[in-house]
Formats: sequence, structure tokens, C-alpha cells
Amino acid sequence: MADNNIEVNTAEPVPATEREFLEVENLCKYFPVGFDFFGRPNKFLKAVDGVSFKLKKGKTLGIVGESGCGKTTMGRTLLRLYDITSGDVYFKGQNVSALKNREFDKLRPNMQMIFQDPYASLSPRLTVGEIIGEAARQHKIVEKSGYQDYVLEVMRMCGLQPHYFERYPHEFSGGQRQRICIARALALKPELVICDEPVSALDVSIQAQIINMLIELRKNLGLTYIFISHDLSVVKHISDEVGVMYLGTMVEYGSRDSIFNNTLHPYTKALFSAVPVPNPHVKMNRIILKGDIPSPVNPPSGCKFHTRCEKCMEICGRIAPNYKEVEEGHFCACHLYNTVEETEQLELKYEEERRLAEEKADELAKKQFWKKVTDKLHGAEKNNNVVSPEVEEKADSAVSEALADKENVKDVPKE
Amino acid sequence: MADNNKKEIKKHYITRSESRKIAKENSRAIAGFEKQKKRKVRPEEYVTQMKDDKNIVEFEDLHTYFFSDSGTVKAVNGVTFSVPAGSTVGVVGESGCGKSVTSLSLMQLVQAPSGQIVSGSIRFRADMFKLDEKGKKIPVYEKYTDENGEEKIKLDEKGKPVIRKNGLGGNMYEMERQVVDIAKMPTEAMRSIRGREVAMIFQEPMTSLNPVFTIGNQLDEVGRLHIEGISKHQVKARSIEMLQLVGIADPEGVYKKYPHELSGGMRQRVMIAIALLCNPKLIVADEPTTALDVTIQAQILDLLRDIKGKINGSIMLITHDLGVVAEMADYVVVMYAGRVIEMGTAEDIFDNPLHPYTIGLQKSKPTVDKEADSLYCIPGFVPNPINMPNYCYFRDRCEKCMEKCSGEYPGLIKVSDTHSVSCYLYEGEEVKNG
Repeated sequence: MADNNIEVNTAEPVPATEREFLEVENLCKYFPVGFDFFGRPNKFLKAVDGVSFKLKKGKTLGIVGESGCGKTTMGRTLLRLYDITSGDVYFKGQNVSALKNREFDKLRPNMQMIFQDPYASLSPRLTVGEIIGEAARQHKIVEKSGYQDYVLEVMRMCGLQPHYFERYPHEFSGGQRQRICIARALALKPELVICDEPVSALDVSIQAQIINMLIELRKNLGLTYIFISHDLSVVKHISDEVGVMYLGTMVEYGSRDSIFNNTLHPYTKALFSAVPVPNPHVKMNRIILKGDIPSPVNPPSGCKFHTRCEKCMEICGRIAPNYKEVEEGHFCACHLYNTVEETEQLELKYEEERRLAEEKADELAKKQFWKKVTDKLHGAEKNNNVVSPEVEEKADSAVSEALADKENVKDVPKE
Repeated sequence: MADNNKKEIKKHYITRSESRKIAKENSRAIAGFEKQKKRKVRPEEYVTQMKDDKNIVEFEDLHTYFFSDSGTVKAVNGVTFSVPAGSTVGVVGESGCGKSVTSLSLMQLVQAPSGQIVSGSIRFRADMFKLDEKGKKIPVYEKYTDENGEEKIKLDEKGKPVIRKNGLGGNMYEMERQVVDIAKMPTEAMRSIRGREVAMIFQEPMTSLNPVFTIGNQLDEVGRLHIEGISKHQVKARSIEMLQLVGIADPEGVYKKYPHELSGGMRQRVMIAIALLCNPKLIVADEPTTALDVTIQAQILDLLRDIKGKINGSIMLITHDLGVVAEMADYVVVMYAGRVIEMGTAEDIFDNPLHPYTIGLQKSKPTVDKEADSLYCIPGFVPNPINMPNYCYFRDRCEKCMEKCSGEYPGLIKVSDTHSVSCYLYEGEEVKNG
């Protein structure tokens, strides 16, 4: 349905052993928002639109971006909590996106998620022990006899008192609830944990406790995190690698130091300059972005950021920049970092595409025109193809001309 | 473990008889306060004097309690600070520390009957309407001098005197500058101040705007209520002017829209426009940027700073983000569990924090320009607001706890002219007022 956006991967498949711990290639997630007469979707919200990255085991990837840029959707799509529209996710060499649901169930304990809102993501009807242990029991991670001890051990690891076992979530404060959420994810002995804004609902002093605990657990259990947050300072503290998202695409990706010390993309620069610094003496050189993030249903043409970009050039409004490695391990999608040849290539490609599109449109118009003309001449009224009014007019005038000619021809011999 | 459980449960829940007792006490206390409110209050009772003429608001020993079913929550428990005219004061603290309730007390918007201002005073310098003997406002009439050189009141076609118009297009009345105590003020008198002299920007723009009315309708309402004698089209013009002032690109279009059609940042701008419509002297901004992204937050903070200069007012900024406070505020008040624990200028608080809680708060926040292996964290949690202990509320989480801390709650100690802290650590360093 959106074939023009997805390039067909013609390269030979990489053997499983050579793949990284987690590889994401061209991940897309479109939500249908408009439907035609027959209930078929014809309009899409492109929440995630071609995201690729690789992550080594034991590392932490921080994803930052404004709200509505698709961070959370990406996290959920990785776990197949949403169906993948297109693209591949390789987890330990296995193509997760191609697995059947029942096969994927066996893999689920390895990939866990800590959800955004600790107030909404805990069932109010289950005790804390049940919340934490339910999935472990379901996946047969512990013996029946050792169940309670196991849950208590996980709780202790996450800083929860043993007597919380029989309490209900409403009795806890936000920080404690977040600990329960973390314990629930860790009870399955996962290797990959996706933390979706784990600290944004918490107070500063509690935030520090939770972040320290996450770092401690990473060290002790060898976890790999994907840390989704809009708080840049937290992301800088916890991540090894950072990806910056804007309107469903990754605009910049690289190691933490290269992103924070050598920022490339104008959006990332604006984002970093907007963070308030708790020091009254620092006067920031603000890059203030104008307006709001555009709607992902109808994103701007070319580079999606060009409507708010300071350094917008003529090319940005027409051609989408390609996502390329500017430095080693530091990717960026911006025309500013294209060489002359690359720009030329993009221009050529753009011209070619436009030419093709025009040809296609011309052909279509011609076809419609001849069809209409023949229909009119044969007096066939049953054809109710919808044609653009211009074509209709053209056809009408052609038909009337032709008819007039005929009459003229007929008239001449009479006289 | 089972025994342990039972003990914990006993601590956590209240018995039926206890609950009944609390309910009885609450209803008695609430009835007393409500009765006091209904009584007719003469203006002399709430007109007072400022301690310092430079201030626009002074809070003194304010207590606001909530009488809940599980006990009395002392949300604001003896808060004393002031907002100097023309400056921005940032109130920082964690959730539940009473910063929002302090601002709601100032607006007389605490959820009654369970929430009540129990004692203390909030002195506010306001332009009040002058009243005649009958309690009516005295209008200022349009005058002219006739041929004989006598001043006469202008009359319209129907023979009625014409009232002079003020800058907003409403009727002009005789004003006098008074200092009023909002804590003792009756609701009717408060209505003439609220919105006109002091306005509030609320926390969540989505829940504070009414979804069934257009933006224009909600803006106009403020104008119609607070600017007496203004015509319909003048109200509309004023609303659109305000929308333009807060940086909305298409004010006429937004005027006709409903709140759901706008994004979070736009909604917050509308909230600011509503607050600014009557040119208030004091803007109370309750977490104006918490629900917004950093890029939008930067826009809104810029706007607030801009507008403060334009209308020459003061801002009381309530937030939990130290970064926002550092950027905006001239003075900072740090609150913890319903009390002010430290206050001073922004430089005082950020360069030389004294209270262990303030120090901990600053250390525990990761910053973009600093690197650390592990964050400092303040151990423990905020204490339960019901049945607060008599000693320093921070004692159980404090690293520098001394023997003395188990005694009475420490008072505010003035360390320098602008800087005061409530902690026994600095007892000897007091500076006498010179």
C-alpha cells in the first residue's frame, strides 16, 4: 500500500550469527485514519516511518523527541504490541517480525517493557505479589513451589519490602508503583527492557532513586535498555547511544558523546538549546522553534523539519534528505551535510521521479480522454468512471467538434 | 512475616470508631468556618497595611487545611513570604508540598468546604473601587467647560450623564489603592479583584478550558464580567488583541475554534491570554509548562518574560523544575511538606544552597552539561501529610541530622539580607536586621 516509501531489500540475507543483539531495519508503523466507501483504509498516520538502528548487548539506547514524534509507538512496535506495517526487527539474529504469534510467545519473556504511567498500568484488583509473579508463572520461569520466594527475591532486588506482597497498588506512591512496574518486567529475566518514560511521572528526588536503580540492575543483570524519554538530561545520564526522532523518522543517531558534543542536525540543536539549565548565571543562546510539530497524517513534503528549521534551504522543501553516516557511527538526515555529488544525485533522482510521475499522469489522462471520447461517440451512458472535470471538458469539446465535422460532411452532399 | 503484616495494616488503616470521630470533628470545624464566611464583613475588617511598601503580595503565617476523612491534611502549614512588585518569584517543591494550595489560597479558590484557610493573612495591594454610603461604585463622568467657564457633566441624547471610558473600553470608576487581606475577605469583594487585579494560569490547559465553548466565548466571558460597560464588539476586539499578544498566528481563526482543535502549546497560550485580558498586576502561573515539550516550553517561558515587561506586572511562578526557576525567577522560595524551608534570590539558592533538602534536590537532578556516574538521591519519601510530626519534617531523610533536630520545628533563620533558611545547622550565623 505504501510501496513507494519502502525500498526492496535486494541484498543477500545476513546470517544469524553476524547480526547484532538487536537490529531494526526500516521499521514502519502506519495507523489507518481514513477509510473509503468500502471500508478500506486510504489515509494513514505514519507514526513510525522507516527507523533503522543496531544495538549491542548490554548497551543502552536513549530515544528523545517531542511528544507525538513516535517514540512510544516505536517501542511498542518493537515488542509487537502493535503489528508491524513493514520492516524487520532482528532480536539475537531472529527475525521477530516474521514469527508467528505462538512462536513469538516463547520469545516474549526476553523482551519486556516498563510502561509510561505507573498509575494506569497496574491492575487495581491484583495484589503486588500477583502483579509481579503472574507472568513468571505463566511462562513457567519458576517452579510452583519456589514461586513466592522467587517473587520476594525480585521485589527485594527492586527495593520493595517483603510485606508489600499482599498489598494493592493504590496503597503506594508513584515511586513505589514505578518500582512495582520494574519488578514486573524483571521477573521474567528479560535481556531487552524497553523503558517508556519511566521517570517522567515522578518527582525529582524519586527520579534519582529510580534512575540509580535502573543503572544498578543493568550492571548486575547485564540488561540492554531502550530508554524512551523526553528529558534530555536523564537520557544523557543513562544512555550509551542516543537517537533523536522527529515526526516518525530518526533524524540523528550516534554515541552519546558525539550527539551531545558534536550535534549535527538543526532540530537536535534546537532541542538541546531549549532545555533549561538550573543555573541563573547561564544565559542560553536559545534557538526557539516556531510553531508546533506538524500533523503526522499530513507531514510536510521533502524534509519533514523544513517548516520549522532555521537553516532551511531551497532543496529542503522538495527532497527528503537521506539518512547517512556523517562520521563514524554518527548518522544524520540533513541536506546540510551532503556533499555536492550527493546533492546532485538527489536532484537527479528527484527529477527522474517527477518525470516518471508526470508521464504516468499524462498517460492516465490520455487513456481517460480516449475512453470518454469513444464512450460518447458510441452513446454509452453506463460508464460512470469518475474523471477530472478538465478531461471531461476536453472530451466533450472533442466529441462535439467531431460530431460537427460529421454533420458538415453529411450536409455537403445534400447541398 | 504474617505478624509483620498485621502490624503494618494496623498502622495503615483507621478503625471505624476513629473514622467516625474524625468525621464528627471535621463537620464541626467546617461548619464553624462556613458560618464565619456567611457573616457580613465590613470593609474595615479586611483593609490592612503592608509591612513593606515594595511588595505586591505578602503571605504571613498562612495555614490552609483540608479536613479529609482520614484526618486533617495541613497542606499549607505556616507559609511566610512576599512577592516584590515587578519581579518574578519562583515557588519550587515536590508534588504535595503545598505550592499549588498556596496559590489557590491567594485566589480564594481552595476547594471548600473541606479545604479552608484556617489562619494567617495574605495581604495584597489592589486598586479597589471606591464605594459610596449605599455600597455602590462611584462613576467618573465625562466633563466639559461651557461658555461661562463652568465645568459641567456631559449628557447624552436621553439626558443621562456620560461615564468616562478607561483604557480597556469599560466604564471608569473612582479607584483607591488599598491593601486587602484576602484570607479575611468575603467572596463578593474577592470577585472584584480576582481576574482583574490578580489572574491565574492553570496547570493543565486541556482540563481548564471548557470543551463545549469556543475559545472566543471563553475569552469574552472574562471581559464581560470584569470590564463593566464594555460593548460586545469591544470585548471581541480585546480578545483578539490578546490572542495576538500571546503569539497566535491566526487570532481570528482561533477565536472561533474549540479547545480540542488546538495543540497543547496553543491551549496554554490561550490560558495565558485569558489571564492577561484585564491587565492584572499579578499573574499566578501554576506549572504553566509542565504538560509541554521542551521546545514549546521555551516558547512559553519566552512569552511570559516578554509579557511581564509589557504589562509591567509581577509573576508568581509555581513549578517543580529547577531549570525553569533558575531561568525565570528573581527570588526563589523552596517548599517542603507545607512549609517554606529556604528562600532568597535566585543566586542565593543556586550558588549557595543551605538547607540539606535544597542541596539534595539540586544534586539529584541530572544536567546536560555535567557528568556523573551515579546520581545523588535523597533517601526515603515525603512524609504522610496526615499527623505530621512536631520535629523538622525533613529529619528522617536528612544526612546532617543532629540531636537538636528531634526538638521543635526550626524557625526561619536569616543568613543574609535576602537569604533565609529553616534549619538548625545555621543557627549561629544569623544576621541581625541592620
